[in-house]
Amino acid sequence: MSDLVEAKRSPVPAQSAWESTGFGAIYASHSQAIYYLALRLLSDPTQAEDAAHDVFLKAYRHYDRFRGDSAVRTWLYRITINHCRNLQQSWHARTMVSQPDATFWDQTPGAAESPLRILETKELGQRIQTTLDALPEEYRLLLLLVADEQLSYGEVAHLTGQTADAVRGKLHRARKAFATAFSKTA
Amino acid sequence: MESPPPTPRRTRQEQIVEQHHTLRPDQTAIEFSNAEEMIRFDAAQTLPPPALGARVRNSVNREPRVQRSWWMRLLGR
Repeated sequence: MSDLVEAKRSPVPAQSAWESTGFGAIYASHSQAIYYLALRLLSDPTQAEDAAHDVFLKAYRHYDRFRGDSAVRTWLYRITINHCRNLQQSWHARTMVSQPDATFWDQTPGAAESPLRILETKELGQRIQTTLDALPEEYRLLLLLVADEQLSYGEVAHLTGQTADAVRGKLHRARKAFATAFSKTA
Repeated sequence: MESPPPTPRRTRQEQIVEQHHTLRPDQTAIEFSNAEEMIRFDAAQTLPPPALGARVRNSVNREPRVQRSWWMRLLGR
């Protein structure tokens, strides 16, 4: 008897929004890329987790406005970039952080075409983070986006507000700057 | 007897072979042709925290249902 009453009191739960909207599948497909971008832009795993959470929640809230003009990945990247920029601006307002601009790296000798070689993958993430932190924001973002093979040069150009030709041109300089900065992390 | 100084005209292959000889037996070197390749490798190894998925799911399930506009439903988007 009590089992019957209990069963009536707790009917089979309706499908959650996570499942019924298909948003769970979107999360599964893109969470790793979004978290990684936030992590490397913010340089802090805890902040990156919070940012990734906020990005997906924001995406869910505006899902009805997503018109499908771009791929979902590009749309999510756009939200992530804007969200991280807002966070960084509020941090920079509190603490002055000076970074060398792009011309510094253009004048620094470095071998753009030489291979990047590592012996240990254990600390690779930390070395990449240190390297990216040393680069101008423009180069950092460019390299992170181009590294995602799901994005075309056109989509990277759209996300960074420039032409695809400009992306190709700056990519060469960004690679050189990365190689130079990476060699200093050994 | 001292070994002859390295000539600058060695091929890259020769240089790589020489570098490999300096590694310990338990070490393996990974070489990336450019920054993106290295970042891609790092990204593939960097998983989001396990708690993130549950956190996003709970937040989404607490949100009011998203109403998709009529034209999106019509177009199947």
